[in-house]
Amino acid sequence: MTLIELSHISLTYPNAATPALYDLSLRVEEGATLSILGPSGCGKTTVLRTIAGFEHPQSGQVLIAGRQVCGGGIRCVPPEERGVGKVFQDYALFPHLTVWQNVAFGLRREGKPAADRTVAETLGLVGLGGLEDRYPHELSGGQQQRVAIARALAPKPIVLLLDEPFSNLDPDMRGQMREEVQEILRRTGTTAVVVTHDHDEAFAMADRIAVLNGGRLEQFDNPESIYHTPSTPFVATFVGQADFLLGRVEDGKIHTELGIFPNVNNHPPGTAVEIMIRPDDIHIVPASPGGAQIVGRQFRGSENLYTTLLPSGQHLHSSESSTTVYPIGTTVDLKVVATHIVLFPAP
Amino acid sequence: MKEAPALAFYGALPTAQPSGWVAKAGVIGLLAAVGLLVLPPLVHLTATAVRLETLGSVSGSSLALLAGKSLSLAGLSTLWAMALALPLAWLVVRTDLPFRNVGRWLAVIPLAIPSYIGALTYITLLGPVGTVNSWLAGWTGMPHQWVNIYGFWGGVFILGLFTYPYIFLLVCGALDTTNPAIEESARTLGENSLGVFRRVTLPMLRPSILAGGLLAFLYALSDFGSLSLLRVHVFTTEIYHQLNTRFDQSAAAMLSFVLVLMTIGVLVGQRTMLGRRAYVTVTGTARVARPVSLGRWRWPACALAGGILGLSVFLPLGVLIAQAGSPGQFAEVIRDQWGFFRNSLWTAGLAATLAMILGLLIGYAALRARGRVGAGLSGTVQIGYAIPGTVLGLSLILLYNTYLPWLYGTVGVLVLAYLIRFLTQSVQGVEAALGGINPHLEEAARSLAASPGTVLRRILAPLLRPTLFAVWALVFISAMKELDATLLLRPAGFDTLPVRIYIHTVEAEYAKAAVLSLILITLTALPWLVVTRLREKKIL
Repeated sequence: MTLIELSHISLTYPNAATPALYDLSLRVEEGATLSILGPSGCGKTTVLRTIAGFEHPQSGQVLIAGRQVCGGGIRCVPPEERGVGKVFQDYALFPHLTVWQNVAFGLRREGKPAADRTVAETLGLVGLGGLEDRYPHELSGGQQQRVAIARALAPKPIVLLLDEPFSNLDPDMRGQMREEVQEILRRTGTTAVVVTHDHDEAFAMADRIAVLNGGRLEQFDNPESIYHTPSTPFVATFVGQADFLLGRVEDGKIHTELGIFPNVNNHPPGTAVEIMIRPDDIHIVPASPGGAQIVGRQFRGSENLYTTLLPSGQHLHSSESSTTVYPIGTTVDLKVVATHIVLFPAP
Repeated sequence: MKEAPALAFYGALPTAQPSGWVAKAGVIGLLAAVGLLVLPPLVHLTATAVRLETLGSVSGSSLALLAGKSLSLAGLSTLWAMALALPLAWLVVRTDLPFRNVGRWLAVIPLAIPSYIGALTYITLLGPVGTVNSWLAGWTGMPHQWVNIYGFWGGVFILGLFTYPYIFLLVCGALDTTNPAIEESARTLGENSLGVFRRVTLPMLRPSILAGGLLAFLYALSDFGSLSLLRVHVFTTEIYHQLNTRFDQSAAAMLSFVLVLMTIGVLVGQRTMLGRRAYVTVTGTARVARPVSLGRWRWPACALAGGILGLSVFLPLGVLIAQAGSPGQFAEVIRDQWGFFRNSLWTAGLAATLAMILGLLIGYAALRARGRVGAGLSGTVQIGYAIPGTVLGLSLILLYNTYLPWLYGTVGVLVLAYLIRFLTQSVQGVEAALGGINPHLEEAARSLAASPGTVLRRILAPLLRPTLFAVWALVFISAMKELDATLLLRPAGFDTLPVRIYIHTVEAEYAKAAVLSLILITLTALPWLVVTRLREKKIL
């Protein structure tokens, strides 16, 4: 069942020259996690604020659990009546309330015994038992994050919105919290929308990813397709390292410096195209004389990332196992083992 | 990446410790000097009060009555100030109120109007022979006293009206720095705007409201000028009466002692009240809350803000200008009273310069020495600020009359009194500025082979120069306006501007008082304007 549906949303901020969102359509299935991915200023936070009810788009509509909350000539439903939970980037904990009071804040209509039970349960769920009487400033960053999640989850929202939830944590803490949050979402069956600029985070957490750029939707797909078959060069480079190899369509094939590839998109003969090649699609084999030369190596722990130079002056990257070490200057042959051929028209 | 809260960041860093016996001796020497400046008057006052066998002419019941009256006047005027400050602050910071930026700027002006000038303007308007009464008598044909500003409620009205900016400024600051996401998260948890205000915004503002309220309360408790003009019987006016009319130094000492105890009680109470919930709400997020749309309440709200500003800014200034009369009269008053200007300017200037130098030394020593010595230094200095001016005047009379008669009755005592009262402004300014300078700067300079002296000269002094200028202006303004202690301590014939304003008002020479008031307000507003202007332009 579709739980959240945004259709043809356009939004321009007052005094802004360009729209923050332009004709954006998205949907989230019940129990799934959607990740909105993009560089800063792409409008991803605006999408979250539109769902939450803090921004009112000039056109388009928003449906939450089948109820129209925005657009179609009705008065926008205010945030407090939408049943959404939000975890803010800076947590936004109430500084004058204890952990317990923070989590109980949204449970006023439940009655004291029921609310107390829910608070205890939720604090247990996020692993904060024993810290009920602390004030937010007496907690570590990770603990504050847990309180923020507990506070948003306690009223059992229809959807949980997370705005760059891990960006304020130390890198080693980030991975751990990500796993914990995923586990919490899974156990409670919560539908979630996560905004992030980190593609690793999006890949790890999301069932579906929406890549935004300049207020427009670039691609809306599952994580694997986003990585392997990006629909635009922007998506290709934003979600990972990619090189673009020039080629030309001749007799139904793409001819390049590294050989011949199938013309998967049926580009007309004679057109210039670019093939997207990721470092893990290329293997290097020492050869003398070879077709390319190694000009750089970055050791990254789990892999070695080589930079090679083709005779045309084009650079290509190749990722090899961390134990495979070739000296700089080695002449090599490049073997492309691409399972997905992605072509873009040459610029 | 989010910016860390500035205070927490610097607070966590180690501070350079003073090195060597020279620095330690310097700190101890400063402590002794400041202690000798501030403590003896109070100790001597206490001794005098305690030595008294009986309460003298002051009976226990009249003392309790006076205390009740002083406290309720301070309390009520604080509530009145809060009632003015809170809606105004919310309107100018958080809503789409018309002219809100101008309003925010205007709302601070009452700070430049000393309460005795405020009292003067309302006395000329609403006094028994004031404009309103004579106009009403003429209109109705009945010589009847329709309104009367004199008395307890007049005091409450005037003090609240001219102290609300203390609360206004702090609440505006808190509203500015409150993270809007905190209020938004309350919305997602099911609260409407009214509920958010009641359950989140107001509780978060509480520390600022209390801190501002405390300033207003202490001001009201220690004020002499306006309450004396309005003929309200409270501690300060009674002390003055005992000293100047009845020449009863023991009774005055007794009353002063009780007033000081009450002040200390209020300060201690405030410390314990805030306790553990010293919230750190300032976060690095730069997002500003979207202004609340007032809708059809826009113009009624504008009228409310205009009414508050009208009572506290436009009306008083308008009355003064109307009273001052023609430019010719204006010039004549200035010519007649030129000597008093000179008196005010050079005493305030000297006090400000001394306070700036001492403030730099004490601030640096207190921050770098840290620990108990540092806290003791700035704490001792703060005591001077907490003593009501009338009490300080009396204490200095008692002390110097007994031990340093050659100093008594000279201008030196006056400058000394200004220094004791306002030194803390300079120390706190320097401390705040030093606290904002990242200690890593000093460490970086040291690692580049600069000696501590070079660090002070080439790093700290340039960074502190704007602060020193601001601090000088602040003490200068305060000393220019000082009435309560000056009235008691000035050498015979050595009047300052505030003293002349007070005397003219008492003698119902409102035109002369108005001219001098306008000049005093201008002289004190100008340095303040210069400082804020430079600050906006980032020169300071």
